[in-house]
Amino acid sequence: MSNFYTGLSLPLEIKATNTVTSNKDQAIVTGLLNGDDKGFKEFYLGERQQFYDWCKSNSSITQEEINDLYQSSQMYLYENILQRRVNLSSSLRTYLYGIAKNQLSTRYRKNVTQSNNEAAVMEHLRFLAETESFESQEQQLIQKIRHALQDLKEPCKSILKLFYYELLSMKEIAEKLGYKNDSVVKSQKNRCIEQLRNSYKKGGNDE
Amino acid sequence: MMSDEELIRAFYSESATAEKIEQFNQLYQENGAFKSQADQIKLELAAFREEERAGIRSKFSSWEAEEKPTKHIQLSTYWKMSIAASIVIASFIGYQSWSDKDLYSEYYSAYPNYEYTTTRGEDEVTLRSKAFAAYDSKAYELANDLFTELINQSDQPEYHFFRGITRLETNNPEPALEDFGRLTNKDNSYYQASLWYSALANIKLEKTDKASQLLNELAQLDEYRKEAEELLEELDN
Repeated sequence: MSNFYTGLSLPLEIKATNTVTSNKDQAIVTGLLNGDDKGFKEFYLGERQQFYDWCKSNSSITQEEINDLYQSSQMYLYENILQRRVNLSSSLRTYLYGIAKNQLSTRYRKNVTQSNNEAAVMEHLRFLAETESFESQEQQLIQKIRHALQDLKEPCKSILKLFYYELLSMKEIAEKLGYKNDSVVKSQKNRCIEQLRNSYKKGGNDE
Repeated sequence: MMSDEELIRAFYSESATAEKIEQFNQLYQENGAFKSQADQIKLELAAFREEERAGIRSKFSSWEAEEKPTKHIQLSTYWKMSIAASIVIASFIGYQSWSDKDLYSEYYSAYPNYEYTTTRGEDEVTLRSKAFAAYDSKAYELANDLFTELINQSDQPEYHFFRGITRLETNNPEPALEDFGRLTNKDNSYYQASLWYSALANIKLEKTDKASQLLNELAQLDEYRKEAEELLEELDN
Protein backbone atom coordinates (compact mmCIF):
# COMPACT_ATOMS: atom_id res chain seq x y z
CA MET A 1 0.00 0.00 0.00
CA SER A 2 1.36 3.35 -0.92
CA ASN A 3 2.31 5.80 1.77
CA PHE A 4 0.57 8.47 -0.27
CA TYR A 5 -2.67 7.47 1.34
CA THR A 6 -1.33 8.47 4.72
CA GLY A 7 0.36 11.61 3.47
CA LEU A 8 3.89 12.38 2.37
CA SER A 9 6.70 14.25 3.98
CA LEU A 10 10.11 15.22 2.76
CA PRO A 11 13.11 13.18 3.87
CA LEU A 12 14.82 14.59 6.96
CA GLU A 13 17.96 15.57 5.10
CA ILE A 14 15.90 17.69 2.74
CA LYS A 15 13.93 19.31 5.56
CA ALA A 16 17.16 20.27 7.25
CA THR A 17 18.40 22.33 4.34
CA ASN A 18 15.43 23.56 2.42
CA THR A 19 14.25 26.54 4.40
CA VAL A 20 17.17 28.78 3.64
CA THR A 21 17.39 30.43 0.26
CA SER A 22 20.93 30.12 -0.94
CA ASN A 23 22.88 32.49 -3.15
CA LYS A 24 23.08 29.60 -5.57
CA ASP A 25 19.28 29.49 -5.89
CA GLN A 26 19.23 33.24 -6.44
CA ALA A 27 21.87 32.86 -9.15
CA ILE A 28 19.83 30.12 -10.85
CA VAL A 29 16.71 32.29 -10.92
CA THR A 30 18.55 35.41 -12.04
CA GLY A 31 20.36 33.43 -14.72
CA LEU A 32 17.14 31.98 -16.09
CA LEU A 33 15.47 35.39 -16.18
CA ASN A 34 18.43 36.64 -18.18
CA GLY A 35 18.38 33.77 -20.63
CA ASP A 36 21.16 31.71 -19.03
CA ASP A 37 19.97 28.21 -18.07
CA LYS A 38 23.34 26.72 -17.01
CA GLY A 39 22.50 27.00 -13.31
CA PHE A 40 19.06 25.51 -13.79
CA LYS A 41 20.57 22.64 -15.76
CA GLU A 42 22.90 21.87 -12.88
CA PHE A 43 19.95 22.02 -10.46
CA TYR A 44 17.83 19.80 -12.74
CA LEU A 45 20.47 17.11 -13.08
CA GLY A 46 21.63 17.40 -9.47
CA GLU A 47 18.21 16.88 -7.89
CA ARG A 48 17.11 13.99 -10.06
CA GLN A 49 18.51 11.03 -8.16
CA GLN A 50 17.30 12.18 -4.77
CA PHE A 51 13.85 12.92 -6.21
CA TYR A 52 13.66 9.44 -7.74
CA ASP A 53 14.71 7.83 -4.45
CA TRP A 54 12.13 9.89 -2.58
CA CYS A 55 9.36 8.83 -4.99
CA LYS A 56 10.39 5.19 -4.96
CA SER A 57 10.46 4.95 -1.19
CA ASN A 58 7.19 6.83 -0.74
CA SER A 59 4.96 5.90 -3.61
CA SER A 60 3.60 3.17 -5.78
CA ILE A 61 3.85 5.04 -9.07
CA THR A 62 5.90 3.42 -11.83
CA GLN A 63 9.41 4.38 -12.91
CA GLU A 64 8.02 5.95 -16.06
CA GLU A 65 5.52 7.97 -14.03
CA ILE A 66 8.33 9.12 -11.74
CA ASN A 67 10.33 10.24 -14.79
CA ASP A 68 7.38 12.20 -16.07
CA LEU A 69 6.54 13.60 -12.63
CA TYR A 70 10.11 14.88 -12.29
CA GLN A 71 10.10 16.47 -15.71
CA SER A 72 6.69 18.08 -15.33
CA SER A 73 7.51 19.36 -11.81
CA GLN A 74 10.74 20.93 -13.07
CA MET A 75 8.85 22.30 -16.08
CA TYR A 76 6.33 24.04 -13.81
CA LEU A 77 9.15 25.38 -11.67
CA TYR A 78 10.96 26.69 -14.77
CA GLU A 79 7.73 28.27 -16.04
CA ASN A 80 6.89 29.89 -12.72
CA ILE A 81 10.40 31.34 -12.50
CA LEU A 82 10.02 32.84 -15.98
CA GLN A 83 6.65 34.26 -14.99
CA ARG A 84 8.18 35.88 -11.89
CA ARG A 85 6.06 33.84 -9.50
CA VAL A 86 8.99 32.36 -7.59
CA ASN A 87 10.06 34.88 -4.98
CA LEU A 88 12.61 32.66 -3.21
CA SER A 89 11.06 33.04 0.20
CA SER A 90 11.97 29.33 0.29
CA SER A 91 14.60 27.29 -1.48
CA LEU A 92 14.16 26.02 -5.02
CA ARG A 93 14.12 22.52 -3.60
CA THR A 94 11.10 23.37 -1.45
CA TYR A 95 9.37 24.69 -4.56
CA LEU A 96 10.26 21.54 -6.49
CA TYR A 97 8.87 19.14 -3.90
CA GLY A 98 5.84 21.34 -3.30
CA ILE A 99 5.07 21.24 -7.01
CA ALA A 100 5.66 17.48 -7.17
CA LYS A 101 3.18 16.91 -4.35
CA ASN A 102 0.69 19.18 -6.07
CA GLN A 103 1.10 17.09 -9.23
CA LEU A 104 0.77 13.81 -7.34
CA SER A 105 -2.44 15.09 -5.88
CA THR A 106 -3.97 16.40 -9.11
CA ARG A 107 -2.63 13.90 -11.66
CA TYR A 108 -2.41 10.68 -9.73
CA ARG A 109 -5.14 11.38 -7.17
CA LYS A 110 -2.74 10.75 -4.32
CA ASN A 111 -3.48 12.03 -0.86
CA VAL A 112 -0.48 14.24 -0.20
CA THR A 113 0.35 16.38 2.80
CA GLN A 114 2.20 19.61 2.16
CA SER A 115 4.57 20.99 4.77
CA ASN A 116 3.83 24.52 6.00
CA ASN A 117 6.69 25.86 3.92
CA GLU A 118 5.49 24.16 0.77
CA ALA A 119 1.88 25.22 1.27
CA ALA A 120 3.05 28.82 1.65
CA VAL A 121 5.08 28.92 -1.56
CA MET A 122 2.41 27.11 -3.57
CA GLU A 123 0.03 30.03 -3.11
CA HIS A 124 2.11 32.11 -5.51
CA LEU A 125 2.50 29.48 -8.21
CA ARG A 126 0.20 28.54 -11.09
CA PHE A 127 -0.23 25.12 -12.66
CA LEU A 128 -2.25 25.62 -15.80
CA ALA A 129 -3.00 22.16 -17.13
CA GLU A 130 -0.57 20.55 -19.55
CA THR A 131 -3.51 19.21 -21.53
CA GLU A 132 -6.33 21.67 -21.52
CA SER A 133 -9.88 20.79 -22.43
CA PHE A 134 -10.58 22.29 -25.79
CA GLU A 135 -13.02 21.27 -28.46
CA SER A 136 -11.43 19.34 -31.29
CA GLN A 137 -11.76 22.31 -33.65
CA GLU A 138 -10.12 24.63 -31.12
CA GLN A 139 -7.33 22.13 -30.57
CA GLN A 140 -6.66 22.04 -34.31
CA LEU A 141 -6.48 25.83 -34.38
CA ILE A 142 -4.04 25.78 -31.44
CA GLN A 143 -1.79 23.45 -33.41
CA LYS A 144 -1.96 25.77 -36.43
CA ILE A 145 -0.99 28.70 -34.22
CA ARG A 146 1.94 26.67 -32.92
CA HIS A 147 3.15 25.97 -36.42
CA ALA A 148 2.83 29.65 -37.30
CA LEU A 149 4.81 30.46 -34.15
CA GLN A 150 7.62 28.18 -35.23
CA ASP A 151 7.96 30.13 -38.48
CA LEU A 152 7.99 33.51 -36.76
CA LYS A 153 11.18 35.56 -37.08
CA GLU A 154 12.89 37.87 -34.62
CA PRO A 155 12.11 40.26 -33.02
CA CYS A 156 8.49 39.04 -33.17
CA LYS A 157 9.33 35.67 -31.67
CA SER A 158 10.90 37.20 -28.56
CA ILE A 159 8.37 40.00 -28.12
CA LEU A 160 5.36 37.70 -28.35
CA LYS A 161 6.96 35.08 -26.13
CA LEU A 162 7.72 37.70 -23.46
CA PHE A 163 4.19 39.11 -23.68
CA TYR A 164 2.09 35.95 -23.99
CA TYR A 165 4.17 33.38 -22.12
CA GLU A 166 6.37 35.24 -19.66
CA LEU A 167 3.52 37.74 -19.10
CA LEU A 168 5.78 40.80 -19.00
CA SER A 169 4.48 44.35 -19.28
CA MET A 170 5.36 46.52 -22.29
CA LYS A 171 7.76 48.49 -20.12
CA GLU A 172 9.54 45.34 -18.97
CA ILE A 173 9.80 44.06 -22.54
CA ALA A 174 11.24 47.41 -23.65
CA GLU A 175 13.88 47.22 -20.93
CA LYS A 176 14.72 43.60 -21.62
CA LEU A 177 15.04 43.97 -25.38
CA GLY A 178 16.55 47.44 -25.36
CA TYR A 179 13.68 49.36 -26.95
CA LYS A 180 13.43 53.11 -26.47
CA ASN A 181 10.12 52.94 -24.60
CA ASP A 182 6.98 50.88 -24.08
CA SER A 183 5.08 52.64 -26.89
CA VAL A 184 7.61 51.40 -29.44
CA VAL A 185 7.25 47.85 -28.10
CA LYS A 186 3.47 48.09 -28.15
CA SER A 187 3.45 49.09 -31.83
CA GLN A 188 5.93 46.37 -32.69
CA LYS A 189 3.95 43.80 -30.71
CA ASN A 190 0.73 44.75 -32.52
CA ARG A 191 2.45 44.28 -35.88
CA CYS A 192 3.83 40.93 -34.74
CA ILE A 193 0.51 39.57 -33.53
CA GLU A 194 -1.14 40.69 -36.75
CA GLN A 195 1.56 38.88 -38.70
CA LEU A 196 1.04 35.74 -36.62
CA ARG A 197 -2.74 35.87 -37.06
CA ASN A 198 -2.45 36.35 -40.81
CA SER A 199 -0.10 33.39 -40.94
CA TYR A 200 -2.24 30.90 -39.06
CA LYS A 201 -5.49 32.08 -40.63
CA LYS A 202 -3.97 31.80 -44.10
CA GLY A 203 -2.71 28.31 -43.22
CA GLY A 204 -6.22 27.40 -42.13
CA ASN A 205 -7.80 28.57 -45.38
CA ASP A 206 -5.33 26.64 -47.48
CA GLU A 207 -6.29 23.34 -45.98
CA MET B 1 -4.60 51.36 -16.93
CA MET B 2 -4.74 47.81 -18.15
CA SER B 3 -5.61 47.30 -21.81
CA ASP B 4 -8.29 44.80 -22.85
CA GLU B 5 -5.57 42.55 -24.15
CA GLU B 6 -3.68 42.65 -20.84
CA LEU B 7 -6.91 42.02 -18.95
CA ILE B 8 -7.64 38.95 -21.10
CA ARG B 9 -4.07 37.73 -20.74
CA ALA B 10 -4.22 38.11 -16.96
CA PHE B 11 -7.57 36.32 -16.79
CA TYR B 12 -6.48 33.27 -18.78
CA SER B 13 -3.08 33.11 -17.07
CA GLU B 14 -4.69 33.14 -13.64
CA SER B 15 -2.90 36.39 -12.81
CA ALA B 16 -5.96 38.59 -12.47
CA THR B 17 -7.11 40.06 -9.16
CA ALA B 18 -10.68 39.51 -7.97
CA GLU B 19 -11.58 42.99 -9.21
CA LYS B 20 -10.13 42.28 -12.67
CA ILE B 21 -11.92 38.93 -12.86
CA GLU B 22 -15.19 40.69 -12.22
CA GLN B 23 -14.36 43.30 -14.86
CA PHE B 24 -13.49 40.54 -17.34
CA ASN B 25 -16.72 38.62 -16.71
CA GLN B 26 -18.83 41.72 -17.13
CA LEU B 27 -17.17 42.71 -20.40
CA TYR B 28 -17.31 39.12 -21.68
CA GLN B 29 -21.06 38.98 -21.13
CA GLU B 30 -21.96 42.44 -22.36
CA ASN B 31 -19.50 43.27 -25.11
CA GLY B 32 -19.46 41.05 -28.24
CA ALA B 33 -16.20 42.48 -29.60
CA PHE B 34 -14.47 41.86 -26.28
CA LYS B 35 -15.78 38.30 -26.18
CA SER B 36 -14.43 37.58 -29.69
CA GLN B 37 -11.06 39.04 -28.76
CA ALA B 38 -10.96 37.03 -25.53
CA ASP B 39 -11.85 33.78 -27.31
CA GLN B 40 -9.06 34.36 -29.81
CA ILE B 41 -6.43 35.30 -27.23
CA LYS B 42 -7.37 32.32 -25.07
CA LEU B 43 -6.37 29.95 -27.88
CA GLU B 44 -3.23 31.95 -28.68
CA LEU B 45 -2.15 31.82 -25.06
CA ALA B 46 -2.69 28.06 -25.05
CA ALA B 47 -0.59 27.74 -28.21
CA PHE B 48 2.25 29.81 -26.71
CA ARG B 49 2.12 27.75 -23.55
CA GLU B 50 2.13 24.41 -25.39
CA GLU B 51 4.95 25.53 -27.64
CA GLU B 52 7.13 26.83 -24.83
CA ARG B 53 6.46 23.81 -22.63
CA ALA B 54 7.35 21.44 -25.43
CA GLY B 55 10.61 23.33 -25.82
CA ILE B 56 11.36 23.17 -22.10
CA ARG B 57 10.64 19.44 -21.92
CA SER B 58 12.73 18.84 -25.00
CA LYS B 59 15.58 20.76 -23.38
CA PHE B 60 15.25 18.64 -20.22
CA SER B 61 15.32 15.45 -22.31
CA SER B 62 18.47 16.58 -24.08
CA TRP B 63 20.11 17.36 -20.71
CA GLU B 64 19.20 13.88 -19.52
CA ALA B 65 20.53 12.35 -22.72
CA GLU B 66 23.84 14.16 -22.22
CA GLU B 67 24.09 12.49 -18.83
CA LYS B 68 23.86 9.00 -20.32
CA PRO B 69 27.29 8.59 -21.92
CA THR B 70 26.76 5.08 -23.29
CA LYS B 71 23.47 5.92 -24.93
CA HIS B 72 24.87 9.18 -26.17
CA ILE B 73 27.82 7.47 -27.81
CA GLN B 74 25.51 4.92 -29.41
CA LEU B 75 23.26 7.63 -30.70
CA SER B 76 26.15 9.70 -31.95
CA THR B 77 27.57 6.78 -33.86
CA TYR B 78 24.15 5.97 -35.27
CA TRP B 79 23.56 9.53 -36.37
CA LYS B 80 27.05 9.93 -37.75
CA MET B 81 26.36 6.88 -39.89
CA SER B 82 22.94 8.26 -40.82
CA ILE B 83 24.40 11.61 -41.73
CA ALA B 84 27.13 9.92 -43.75
CA ALA B 85 24.50 7.82 -45.51
CA SER B 86 22.41 10.92 -46.15
CA ILE B 87 25.39 12.68 -47.68
CA VAL B 88 26.00 9.72 -49.97
CA ILE B 89 22.34 9.60 -50.96
CA ALA B 90 22.19 13.37 -51.38
CA SER B 91 25.34 13.38 -53.50
CA PHE B 92 23.99 10.56 -55.61
CA ILE B 93 20.65 12.25 -56.12
CA GLY B 94 22.34 15.56 -56.76
CA TYR B 95 24.58 14.01 -59.36
CA GLN B 96 21.76 12.21 -61.12
CA SER B 97 19.04 14.80 -61.18
CA TRP B 98 17.99 18.01 -59.51
CA SER B 99 14.40 17.87 -60.70
CA ASP B 100 13.08 15.10 -58.42
CA LYS B 101 14.84 16.58 -55.42
CA ASP B 102 13.20 19.90 -56.18
CA LEU B 103 9.80 18.25 -56.45
CA TYR B 104 10.38 16.61 -53.09
CA SER B 105 11.29 19.94 -51.48
CA GLU B 106 8.34 21.62 -53.14
CA TYR B 107 5.76 19.14 -51.89
CA TYR B 108 7.22 17.93 -48.62
CA SER B 109 6.34 19.39 -45.25
CA ALA B 110 6.33 17.56 -41.91
CA TYR B 111 2.98 16.15 -40.89
CA PRO B 112 1.45 18.37 -38.20
CA ASN B 113 0.75 16.64 -34.91
CA TYR B 114 -2.96 17.30 -34.41
CA GLU B 115 -3.62 14.11 -32.50
CA TYR B 116 -1.52 13.91 -29.43
CA THR B 117 -2.82 16.60 -27.10
CA THR B 118 -6.46 15.66 -27.58
CA THR B 119 -6.16 11.91 -27.28
CA ARG B 120 -3.57 11.12 -24.68
CA GLY B 121 -4.67 9.51 -21.44
CA GLU B 122 -3.33 10.02 -18.00
CA ASP B 123 -1.36 6.79 -18.09
CA GLU B 124 0.47 7.79 -21.24
CA VAL B 125 1.90 11.15 -20.24
CA THR B 126 5.42 9.83 -20.22
CA LEU B 127 7.53 8.48 -23.04
CA ARG B 128 4.75 9.27 -25.53
CA SER B 129 4.49 12.87 -24.36
CA LYS B 130 8.26 13.24 -24.67
CA ALA B 131 8.28 11.78 -28.17
CA PHE B 132 5.58 14.15 -29.39
CA ALA B 133 7.13 17.08 -27.56
CA ALA B 134 10.40 16.38 -29.36
CA TYR B 135 8.52 16.02 -32.65
CA ASP B 136 6.66 19.29 -32.15
CA SER B 137 9.93 21.02 -31.30
CA LYS B 138 11.49 19.69 -34.50
CA ALA B 139 14.06 17.77 -32.43
CA TYR B 140 13.71 14.94 -34.94
CA GLU B 141 16.76 12.93 -33.95
CA LEU B 142 15.56 12.76 -30.37
CA ALA B 143 11.98 12.09 -31.54
CA ASN B 144 13.20 9.19 -33.69
CA ASP B 145 14.94 7.66 -30.70
CA LEU B 146 11.87 8.06 -28.49
CA PHE B 147 9.44 6.66 -31.08
CA THR B 148 11.76 3.66 -31.43
CA GLU B 149 11.55 3.13 -27.68
CA LEU B 150 7.76 3.41 -27.87
CA ILE B 151 7.60 0.87 -30.69
CA ASN B 152 9.72 -1.52 -28.65
CA GLN B 153 7.20 -1.19 -25.83
CA SER B 154 4.03 -1.19 -27.91
CA ASP B 155 4.07 -1.67 -31.67
CA GLN B 156 1.44 0.91 -32.67
CA PRO B 157 0.94 2.04 -36.30
CA GLU B 158 0.78 5.66 -35.10
CA TYR B 159 4.33 5.46 -33.74
CA HIS B 160 5.60 4.00 -37.00
CA PHE B 161 3.97 6.83 -38.89
CA PHE B 162 5.58 9.58 -36.83
CA ARG B 163 8.94 7.79 -36.77
CA GLY B 164 8.69 7.63 -40.56
CA ILE B 165 8.34 11.42 -40.68
CA THR B 166 11.31 11.90 -38.34
CA ARG B 167 13.33 9.67 -40.66
CA LEU B 168 12.37 11.74 -43.68
CA GLU B 169 13.29 14.86 -41.75
CA THR B 170 16.71 13.39 -41.05
CA ASN B 171 17.27 12.30 -44.65
CA ASN B 172 16.61 8.61 -44.18
CA PRO B 173 13.92 7.85 -46.78
CA GLU B 174 14.53 4.09 -46.98
CA PRO B 175 13.93 3.33 -43.29
CA ALA B 176 11.05 5.81 -43.46
CA LEU B 177 9.47 3.65 -46.17
CA GLU B 178 9.73 0.63 -43.86
CA ASP B 179 7.73 2.53 -41.25
CA PHE B 180 5.08 3.74 -43.67
CA GLY B 181 4.85 0.17 -44.99
CA ARG B 182 3.48 -0.83 -41.58
CA LEU B 183 0.32 1.20 -42.16
CA THR B 184 -1.40 -0.97 -44.74
CA ASN B 185 -4.78 -1.10 -43.02
CA LYS B 186 -7.08 1.21 -44.97
CA ASP B 187 -9.13 1.90 -41.85
CA ASN B 188 -6.12 3.43 -40.11
CA SER B 189 -6.42 7.22 -39.89
CA TYR B 190 -2.82 7.57 -41.11
CA TYR B 191 -3.26 5.29 -44.12
CA GLN B 192 -3.60 8.01 -46.77
CA ALA B 193 -0.92 10.17 -45.18
CA SER B 194 1.40 7.16 -45.24
CA LEU B 195 0.80 6.72 -48.95
CA TRP B 196 1.55 10.38 -49.52
CA TYR B 197 4.81 10.35 -47.59
CA SER B 198 5.78 7.03 -49.17
CA ALA B 199 5.31 8.63 -52.59
CA LEU B 200 7.52 11.54 -51.53
CA ALA B 201 10.17 9.19 -50.12
CA ASN B 202 10.22 7.33 -53.43
CA ILE B 203 10.62 10.59 -55.31
CA LYS B 204 13.56 11.40 -53.09
CA LEU B 205 15.04 8.01 -53.93
CA GLU B 206 14.41 8.59 -57.66
CA LYS B 207 11.96 5.70 -57.78
CA THR B 208 9.44 7.59 -59.83
CA ASP B 209 7.54 4.54 -61.09
CA LYS B 210 6.76 3.48 -57.54
CA ALA B 211 5.94 7.07 -56.61
CA SER B 212 3.52 7.34 -59.54
CA GLN B 213 1.82 4.10 -58.54
CA LEU B 214 1.23 5.42 -55.02
CA LEU B 215 0.08 8.81 -56.28
CA ASN B 216 -2.40 7.16 -58.63
CA GLU B 217 -3.82 5.29 -55.67
CA LEU B 218 -4.06 8.54 -53.69
CA ALA B 219 -5.77 10.28 -56.60
CA GLN B 220 -8.64 7.81 -56.17
CA LEU B 221 -8.99 8.73 -52.49
CA ASP B 222 -9.93 12.00 -50.81
CA GLU B 223 -7.31 13.39 -48.41
CA TYR B 224 -4.41 14.02 -50.80
CA ARG B 225 -6.24 13.86 -54.14
CA LYS B 226 -5.41 17.41 -55.20
CA GLU B 227 -1.73 17.16 -54.28
CA ALA B 228 -1.42 13.71 -55.85
CA GLU B 229 -2.91 14.86 -59.15
CA GLU B 230 -0.64 17.90 -59.26
CA LEU B 231 2.45 15.90 -58.46
CA LEU B 232 1.57 13.22 -61.01
CA GLU B 233 1.28 15.91 -63.65
CA GLU B 234 4.68 17.32 -62.72
CA LEU B 235 6.27 13.89 -62.80
CA ASP B 236 4.89 13.31 -66.29
CA ASN B 237 6.43 16.55 -67.59
